[in-house]
Amino acid sequence: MSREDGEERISRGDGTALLIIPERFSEAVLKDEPTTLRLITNPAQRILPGIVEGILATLVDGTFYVQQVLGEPVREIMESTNDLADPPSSLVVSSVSVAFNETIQRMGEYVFPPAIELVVEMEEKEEETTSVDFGTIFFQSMLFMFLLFGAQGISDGLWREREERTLSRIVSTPGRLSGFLLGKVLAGVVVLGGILAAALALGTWLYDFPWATYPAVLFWLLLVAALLIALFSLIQLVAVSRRGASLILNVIVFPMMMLGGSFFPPEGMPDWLAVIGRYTPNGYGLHILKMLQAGAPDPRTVVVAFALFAAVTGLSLWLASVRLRSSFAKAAS
Amino acid sequence: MVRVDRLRKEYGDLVAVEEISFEAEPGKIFGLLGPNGAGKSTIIGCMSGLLQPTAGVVHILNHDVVREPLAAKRQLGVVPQELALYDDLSATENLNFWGGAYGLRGGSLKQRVGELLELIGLQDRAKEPVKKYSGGMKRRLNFACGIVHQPKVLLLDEPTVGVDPQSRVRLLDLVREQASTGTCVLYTTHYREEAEALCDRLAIVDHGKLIASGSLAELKAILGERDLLRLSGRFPDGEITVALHALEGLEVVQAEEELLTLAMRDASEMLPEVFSVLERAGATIRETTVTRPSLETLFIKLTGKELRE
Ligand SMILES: Nc1ncnc2c1ncn2[C@@H]1O[C@H](COP(=O)(O)OP(=O)(O)OP(=O)(O)O)[C@@H](O)[C@H]1O
Ligand SMILES: [Mg+2]
Repeated sequence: MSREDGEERISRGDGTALLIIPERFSEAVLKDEPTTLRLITNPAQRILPGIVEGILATLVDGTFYVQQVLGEPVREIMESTNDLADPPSSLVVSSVSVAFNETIQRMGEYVFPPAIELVVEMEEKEEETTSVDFGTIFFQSMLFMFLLFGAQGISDGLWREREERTLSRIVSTPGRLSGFLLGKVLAGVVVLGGILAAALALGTWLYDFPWATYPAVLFWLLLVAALLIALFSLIQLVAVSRRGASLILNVIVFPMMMLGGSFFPPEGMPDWLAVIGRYTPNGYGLHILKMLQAGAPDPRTVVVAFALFAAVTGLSLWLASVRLRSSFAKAAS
Repeated sequence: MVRVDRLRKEYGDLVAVEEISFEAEPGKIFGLLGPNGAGKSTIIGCMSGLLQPTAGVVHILNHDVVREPLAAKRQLGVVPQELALYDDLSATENLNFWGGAYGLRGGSLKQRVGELLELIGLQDRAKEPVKKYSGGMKRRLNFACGIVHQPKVLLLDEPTVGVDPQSRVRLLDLVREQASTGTCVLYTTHYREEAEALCDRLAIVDHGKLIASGSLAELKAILGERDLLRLSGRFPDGEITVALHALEGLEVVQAEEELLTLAMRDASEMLPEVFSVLERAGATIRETTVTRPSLETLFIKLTGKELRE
């Protein structure tokens, strides 16, 4: 969907909000150039744009709170629960805290001004119709868009470590690279999870989802986060250069986002496309999420979904750690 | 303590390290001296488990680095030539991370980090992110990260490159301190002065080969008490060498068309005689340098070129 189409829909009153992601957005973010995310909201839908704004603002604040509130405790909990005093396990802890710190820094670059400015524009049109349904759906999709971008950013950390040679240095320590990788993934899940927990709480409250669904939904989102980070990390490790990796991921992530209904909800797609989209990790994730949030999900489907995602995460991690050990880390001299 | 036995490393067709063997002892500083591209970092890489040797073995405290990597690495501290730090994190956080990677934690880690910050003089800026540090400060931190866990064996790869003279003196003192507590230190450098001032034993490497090794005194003895005379100009083939043989106690180290290197006792006194012989043989001399015996002259004698090229 083009920008013109989007603006037209907004002014027709069809859409709630239009989030304009500029071309070369991720590049600009990586290079630390100021860039603008434009959120065009629809005056026809008074409440919903406010909500979308609210969610985005929560994401922004969320990173701050995660850092403030969770940073030190998470580290301490990890250290106290991890009593094995041998280096391999302590590398997991150290990696988590470093990755955690770094991720926060990066997320900060992502969402704090002046790197990204959130411009909210109100289209000049006054009508009083609300479509709560669309808002709900949009909220669910947003969670996955956030997950896709977040996981992509976090997985890039591997190349960063290679280029900054900290990865080589890790090879010279007695720590295991698989522990290091696990630490990175865990840290990513914790960071994304913290933000998701806040966003989900807000969404559950605003859209009147049953609170009983909250734990299962959050757990599901954490699993999706783990899967995406593990999968994207594997792609990073297989690529021959950092640029190549970023290119491959963009080529994969954008269609995934569109097809999987993480940008515009699958309800707005032709049926056949929505069905295809369900075979993407995020599309499937969204499908299960909707099921969980609607309450009374089919237990068998849910168990299969959790098992499947856990298995794919495990497999990706294993392949990634083999790749990391056999060539990625060694070639970093 | 540290034993390198016929180490060889190839990168495709390039032989970066060829049949290198040496031993280093606890409480002593062993130097690897060689010009750019000699293979120093490659040797360090093979010793730290970063590179897979093509052939040969490295033992760290009787543990084979390839076969028992964990046991070997536990005793090992490495300070890589290129900075390897987390730029976004502070000095304290970096030290915490690397300490953690070696299994330190809790109170003992905290105490050690405090000690190190004081040792490298960074306590005032310990909370700032590393990217705000000067090059020399980063070097000192890079060094400290390699010794957080008080390793029994310490591999230092040109740790003073790009450091101002003051910081350098401080860093070298830190290295000596490490050795004085019983650590076996391996120190690579291309600065002859550093090697002479610091190392108890030395190996000179060039093009991946070990060309001489021993204590400073032993190495100087190879050269004898002779000075090295380097002449540039134009030296027609053949006749020159023959003519020079007439002079007693003089050795032709190297004879090229535009460069002549001679070794002799009291070169400054023999200079007029050498000049007259050369002129009679049809040579033109543009420039003359006399060097007293040192590692530099030894290097020139052994390889025919200067250390810093
Ligand atoms: N990854 C690599 N692939 C191919 N060749 C390499 C690689 N690393 C080093 N070399 C080559 O191996 C040789 C030795 O390099 P090395 O880095 O060990 O030298 P060095 O003595 O440390 O030099 P310097 O003083 O410049 O650090 C050089 O010819 C270099 O070009
Ligand atoms: Mg080197």
